[in-house]
Amino acid sequence: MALVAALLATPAVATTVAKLSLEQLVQRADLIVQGQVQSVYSQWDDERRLVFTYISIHVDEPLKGEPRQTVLIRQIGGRVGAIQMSVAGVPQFNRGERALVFLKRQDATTFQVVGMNQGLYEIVEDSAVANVFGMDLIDKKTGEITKPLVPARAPLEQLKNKIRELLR
Amino acid sequence: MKLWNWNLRTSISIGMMVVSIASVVATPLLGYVPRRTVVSGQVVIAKWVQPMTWRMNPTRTPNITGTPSVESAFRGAFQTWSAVSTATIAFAEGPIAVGTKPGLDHINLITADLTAAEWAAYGVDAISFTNVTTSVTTGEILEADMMFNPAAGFSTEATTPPNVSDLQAVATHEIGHMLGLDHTPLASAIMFPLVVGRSFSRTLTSDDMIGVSTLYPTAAFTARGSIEGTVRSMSNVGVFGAIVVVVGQNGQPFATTVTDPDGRYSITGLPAGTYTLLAEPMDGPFAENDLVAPLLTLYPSKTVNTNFTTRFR
Repeated sequence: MALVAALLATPAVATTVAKLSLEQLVQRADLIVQGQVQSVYSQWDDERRLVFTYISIHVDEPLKGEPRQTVLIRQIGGRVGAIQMSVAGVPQFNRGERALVFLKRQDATTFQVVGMNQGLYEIVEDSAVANVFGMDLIDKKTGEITKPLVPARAPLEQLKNKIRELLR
Repeated sequence: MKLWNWNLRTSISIGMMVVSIASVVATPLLGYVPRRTVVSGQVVIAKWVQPMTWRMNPTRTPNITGTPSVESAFRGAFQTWSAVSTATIAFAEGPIAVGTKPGLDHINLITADLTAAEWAAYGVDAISFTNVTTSVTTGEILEADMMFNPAAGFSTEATTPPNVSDLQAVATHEIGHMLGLDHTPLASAIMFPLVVGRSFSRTLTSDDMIGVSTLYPTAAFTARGSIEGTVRSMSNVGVFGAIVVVVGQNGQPFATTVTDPDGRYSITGLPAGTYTLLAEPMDGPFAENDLVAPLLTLYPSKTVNTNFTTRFR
């Protein structure tokens, strides 16, 4: 348990991302929902120093957290006019896409994705397609092959059942 | 041959394709793994046009341990990239910027001096990140700010203690983003995004060096060899979004790139030698959002093929 707690206390090493297992994703998330991206828009902050992108997701099925109809994700980066701000590893959302997302509460009205793009599964037909998984290429230094902790693609229902089991 | 086996194992379908090396092809749109943007309908590579001046806020926050200074870690990271002999990277260090916060202000800032509330407002669940500001009319990088999470542990020591990250190594990775590099699919490279049970290195790999040299080439780099070709399916259709890996004679991955919508690739800056090529789908080995989504933004009417196996001919 101590190890689990220590892992949970450490933020995902983002552009140096620490891989999160499904269990860690589930535990770190305040909210897990399956839904559809309703809108994506970007705007300057009040001081006009940083661009933020807001993603509104219509919730089809809540898996963790208090049920709600929509959820608003706010994350740094996006395009306004001729300026593009971008951060590698930040999840990309497109209007109309279906997704399963692991979210942490950011403030009273907005959430952020857990572990950058590890916390986003795109739903394609009845599969959940994960965004970040391990390489099967060799690690030069250790000679080890990094292995995915969960499959890159899983049947959606199977993934949701695993999540439900972990929440019990 | 081991690489070949791994390549087979990562593949998930029975579809077959062939990697062929063509001696003459049109110039591919995609190079190594640089940041790309669309300017007037054309895909351009985001890069600095002018020499880049960076400034640090060296304030040491309680989450940073170790005897060496924060300043030395930051400077060491920039020196690592400056030392790439085949790239014309021009860095200058500007005045110390105590109290400066990230944001569009014409200061290329590197800072760990952030409060938990400031960090939380970025909405990024990370230990560090770099925000790169680009002109969508020219592709020029206008500004880049690098920041470190005040809740994450960092060390400045050469030997990193358990459960914290090496500040200089993480800064080295982030400077790659500042320069215009995106994440690479090669696990051994500095620009690989995931840490899986190991520490990041402060040392660049050939993949990193070729990446940055492709963006900022010296004449000597341009004069080196290149491998160009097309990844095609058995039905002779170009495969979009295949990761092409150049493997050296010692069996180690040397450099990577990604094919364009016609299946074309080009890897430049290769020293004379014998190489083996692999083609990997992006599904298992690499982050969909790291490469597939940006590729589809650039080529919205195209479909990335992540569903193939490879064999040599």
